[in-house]
Amino acid sequence: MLKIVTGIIIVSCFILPKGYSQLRHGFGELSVVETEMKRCLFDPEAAAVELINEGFADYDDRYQMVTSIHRRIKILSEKGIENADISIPFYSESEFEYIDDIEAVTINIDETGRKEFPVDKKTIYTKKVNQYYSEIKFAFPQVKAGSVIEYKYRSVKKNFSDLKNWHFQSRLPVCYSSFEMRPAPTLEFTYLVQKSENYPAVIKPSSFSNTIYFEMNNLPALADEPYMDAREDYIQKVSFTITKFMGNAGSQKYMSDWNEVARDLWDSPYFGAEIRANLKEPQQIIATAIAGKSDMEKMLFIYDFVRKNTKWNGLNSHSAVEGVRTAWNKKSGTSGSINLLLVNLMRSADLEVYPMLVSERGNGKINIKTPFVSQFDNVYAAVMINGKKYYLDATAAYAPANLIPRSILNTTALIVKSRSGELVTVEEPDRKYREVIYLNGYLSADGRMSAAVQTVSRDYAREEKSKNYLKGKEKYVENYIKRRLVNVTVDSLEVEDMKTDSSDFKQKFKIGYTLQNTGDYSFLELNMFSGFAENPFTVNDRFSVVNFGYKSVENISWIVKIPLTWAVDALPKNIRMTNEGKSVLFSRELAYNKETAQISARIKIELNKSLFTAEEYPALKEFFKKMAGMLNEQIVFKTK
Amino acid sequence: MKKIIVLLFGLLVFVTAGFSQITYSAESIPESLMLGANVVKRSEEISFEVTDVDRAIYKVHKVITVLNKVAEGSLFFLEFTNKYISLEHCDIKVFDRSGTLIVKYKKKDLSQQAPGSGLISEGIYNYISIGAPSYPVTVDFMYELKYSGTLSYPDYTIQEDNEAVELSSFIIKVPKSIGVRYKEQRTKILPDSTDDGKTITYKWSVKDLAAIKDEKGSAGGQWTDPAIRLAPNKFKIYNSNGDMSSWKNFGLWEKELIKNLDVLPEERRAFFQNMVKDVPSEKEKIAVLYNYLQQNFRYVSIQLGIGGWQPFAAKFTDEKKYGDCKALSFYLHAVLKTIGIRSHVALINCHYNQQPVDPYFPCNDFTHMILCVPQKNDSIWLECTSKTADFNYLGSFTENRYALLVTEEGGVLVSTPVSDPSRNKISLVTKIYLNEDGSGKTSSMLFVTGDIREKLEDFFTAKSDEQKDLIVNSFGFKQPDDFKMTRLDKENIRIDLEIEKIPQFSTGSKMFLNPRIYSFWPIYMPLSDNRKQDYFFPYAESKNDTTIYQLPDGFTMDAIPQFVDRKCGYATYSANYTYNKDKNQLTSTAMLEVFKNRIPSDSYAEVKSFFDQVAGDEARKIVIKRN
Repeated sequence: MLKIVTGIIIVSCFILPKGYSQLRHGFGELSVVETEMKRCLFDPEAAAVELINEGFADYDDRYQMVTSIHRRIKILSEKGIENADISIPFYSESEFEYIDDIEAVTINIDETGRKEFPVDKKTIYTKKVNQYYSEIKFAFPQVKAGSVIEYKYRSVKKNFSDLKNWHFQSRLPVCYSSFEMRPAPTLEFTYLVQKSENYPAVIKPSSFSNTIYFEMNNLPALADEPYMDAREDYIQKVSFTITKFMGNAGSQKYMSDWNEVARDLWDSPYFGAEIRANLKEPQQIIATAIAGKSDMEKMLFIYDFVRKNTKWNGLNSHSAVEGVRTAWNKKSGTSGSINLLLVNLMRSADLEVYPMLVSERGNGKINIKTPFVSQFDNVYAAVMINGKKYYLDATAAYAPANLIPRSILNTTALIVKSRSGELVTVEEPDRKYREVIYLNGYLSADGRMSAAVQTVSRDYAREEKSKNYLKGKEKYVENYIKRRLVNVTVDSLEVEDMKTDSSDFKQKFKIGYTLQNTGDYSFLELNMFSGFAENPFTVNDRFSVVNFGYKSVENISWIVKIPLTWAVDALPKNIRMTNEGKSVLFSRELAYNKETAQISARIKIELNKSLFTAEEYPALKEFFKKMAGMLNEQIVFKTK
Repeated sequence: MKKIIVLLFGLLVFVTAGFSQITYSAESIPESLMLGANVVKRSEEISFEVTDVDRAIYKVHKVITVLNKVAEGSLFFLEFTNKYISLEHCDIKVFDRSGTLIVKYKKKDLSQQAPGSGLISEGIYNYISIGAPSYPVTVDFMYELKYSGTLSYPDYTIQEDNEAVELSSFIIKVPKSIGVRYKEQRTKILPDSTDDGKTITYKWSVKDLAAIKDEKGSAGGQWTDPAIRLAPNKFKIYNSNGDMSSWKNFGLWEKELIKNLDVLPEERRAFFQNMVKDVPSEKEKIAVLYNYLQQNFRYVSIQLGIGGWQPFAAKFTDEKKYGDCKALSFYLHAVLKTIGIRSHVALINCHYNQQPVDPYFPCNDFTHMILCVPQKNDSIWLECTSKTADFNYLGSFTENRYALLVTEEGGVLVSTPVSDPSRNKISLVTKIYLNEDGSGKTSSMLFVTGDIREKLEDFFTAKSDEQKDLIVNSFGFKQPDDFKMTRLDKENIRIDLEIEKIPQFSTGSKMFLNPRIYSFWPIYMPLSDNRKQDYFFPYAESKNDTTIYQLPDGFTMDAIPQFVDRKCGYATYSANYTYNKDKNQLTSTAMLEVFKNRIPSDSYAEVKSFFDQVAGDEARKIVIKRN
């Protein structure tokens, strides 16, 4: 079982002797254990293992951040050879960072002895990735199962502002991972170690060398799991944030609590100033359009206005990188620019609105005890109307205003007010993925089923389904209607106009298909359109929380008239199944009315909780397995 | 001064001609062009002017109206540039439904992103994603690309799926000394041509073309759209001159690129000679060396400059033990040469859904290189980038098409093997020990060859949790409580499962069993209405399944599906069910053979109907009951 524990220490104002040694392992100096290793004992199926991953961050005379990195990987099987193609990304915009002193070698040891194959400098390439990043790329020569590949390099950054997290863990198992840092004397920073209680970490500050050293050992590879939160939430790592900077003009203290964070952002030219910027054209359009309208109408209008008039360029930011004015003029921008534009325009309409820093699900959870802006990856708008909060992301084209964006469900966010910061837990108590499906069918004596189906999708179901419908009707029919039935035809799919963002998404269609039969038996599916059929949970053990995002409820009802000549041979049992905490529920009621020759069914699948801990996983897995089995049961008819 | 004014006026007329009648309002689109369309190309003028053998200018002025959200991809501007193609300028204007200008973009507003594939490749994508406040939205694109290499000329793509065209034209001007060839693809339009003695000009024009329907499963890449394909006669790229007027000449260019690169050091020559000295036949020698390549070398994609067409020197590949398709194919060519076996590297286009190049239209459609070793009867074909491919088996990646052999005399276009389903087999024999409560143990012997085995290699080498997930969610197996997979050899795998609930369902005294414990034919084929394009299966294949249910004591057979035997022009299927009362065993067998991976459009309806019936057959149940 994996738990996360954290710690914070402030290391400040080192007075530093120069010339302290850096990496702790000699390049190419393999131990006997490393040489003889055939498999990784703590991750026996691994195709390769990181023997050493060490880094040392120092500063030079110009207080640039100079980081030496050293990696040694053992290839354990043919599949592991894919790890011998190396890519080292670096932030090249404005020459902020460069990579040099690259040395790399393949070491093969066999009965004939040790052979080294250095990577030729001419085969090390630099490639521009985009306007921000470039990559160093190279391939190790002569690699085979049993090879050790080893490389080291130096990264030089203009300053310490881009001090990255150090991941002790990776997609390969890691025997030894360490990071040591000697920060520039102009800096004060905090660090935070996220680790499992199962794996010890060494943390050694040294006043002699003015360094701090972190080390972890024997970490298995971190795998992805279904419905997993961000990998960042589970990976063993240390992260850093600068809290104080001392320059020629005196010292500048960074935020030590959330109020300070908020005040700092409010004063920032890329954040608070952008919210207050005077944007004549859109503000005038809005002023005209919202005259005399209620706050709710104002909010809906401006939210829609910004979504329609801007296009997200695919980049997330928690500040207005290119500015809200540019975002408006170009009708395009980062998420930060677009959402701060949204806040700006809502403020101009006298709405109570605040920017809200968020850490979207993929970015990982924030630690509320450490007031680091760097923990967030995006900014949304938080609007207060009649005591209710609305969270809006104008880059999400299909997200209705009344629904909390699914990207921030079950996360913690920071509402940034002018003098204070308010941490909020973003949970959705009421709204779910709701769907009601009703089918009225008729079975002919030749086994042909004809049915009229109505589906009402609400809240998160509405958001998902309407979005996919708008992307193409044909694909929608294939993905949501035809998915379970063999050789089904779908006719006359009609969708009711969704007048507002909160309207239900109503679909009507007709289906036709022939029941499968064996001998005198014919079989009618129960589970024609539900979102559940297979159990997504197959592995026995799990380390991460199961995060469904939202709660859900699906109600499926149907009536089918059967031929008078048919008899019901077997009707699946009525059942009501729930787990211990009643957080998951499955019920099924079936009835056969012989007189009217009608079968009716009611199926309900309900998730009353969106988060399940790793401890709850075995029971959840079992529940889903049983439910999938029951959903796949069928009604059996005798046809002769 | 007067001259200048006249000149400017003339220029203005030239620039606006053709676009003068265009209004940016979406209201004026003829109703007939809206039918089935998601996009309407309102107006398009493209010119490609070749000024020298390595110099050309490509100018585009295009106005499109995107009618709905389905086609928002058309609002994504994307141009690839590299060392020999540069984007000179780019102006994009966006208009609302009424034709009012909303926003303008310039080249500086574009973002860049390197291609994600390959370890090291050249060039970058320049792009911008344009927003639509509402639909329809109209966009005017005007941009220019400068070519300083001319191996490939741009095609004139007349229309894409679900796109109607109001007006479009394409002009190509080429010096006569260089020459140009063209070919119609899914169109019959002819060009207006002029020849002033120095320059040849062709102009194609279309107007009022109704939208064509998107057909899933069609050929990939540049092969599907109505287009005029263009190719140079003479070309130059990275200072290398070539002639593409014939396949022979194109092959001569590649031959020059590989010249003198096949030299291996004497000790390595001796090494290979020694390796095969006791191997009796030439074919076996080739197999030994191919195996050596697979065991010791790996594929790494490195495509820089002329290296996009020129392989590494064999000596370099030998030292590094890696290379791309060219490097590895050429290396094996060089190795075979050391033992006196003649072989030819072969340029080819790849992927199962690619059409053969046109024998009568030499052009640079190649994306891959393989190796051909001519034999008295059939040639030996070798895919050198895979560490696990079978010897002399290309698979649907490069079968069923032409390859351009690079010979001493130049290029020779030859056919690669036709897909043979008997070399691409999957067979599963499963014994199921069923308990009274529906639980049970299963033991399966899986036999796989060819493409199917190759496709499963990642599965075989995955961690066991991933394997378990894959067999459930990709192959449709029942979820096992216990799972064990043992690879006995390259082609034989044993899978043992413990499953809590083997029947699809049970009611009262009966169990309803699926014919197999996995999905036998999971491919869904799209609708067949009036299909215009050929359909591509991933490969021709042969599938066999035998599933033996050992029934629990006290149970007996109640009903089994009838024997079926189906045939169509491109596939056969049969399924049989028997019950052995003495052993209380139910046996379900199925055989499916897909003869070809390419189904002609006029046979598609028949083939779709066949596979719909197979899906129905496979959904039938076996019924057993308690005595």
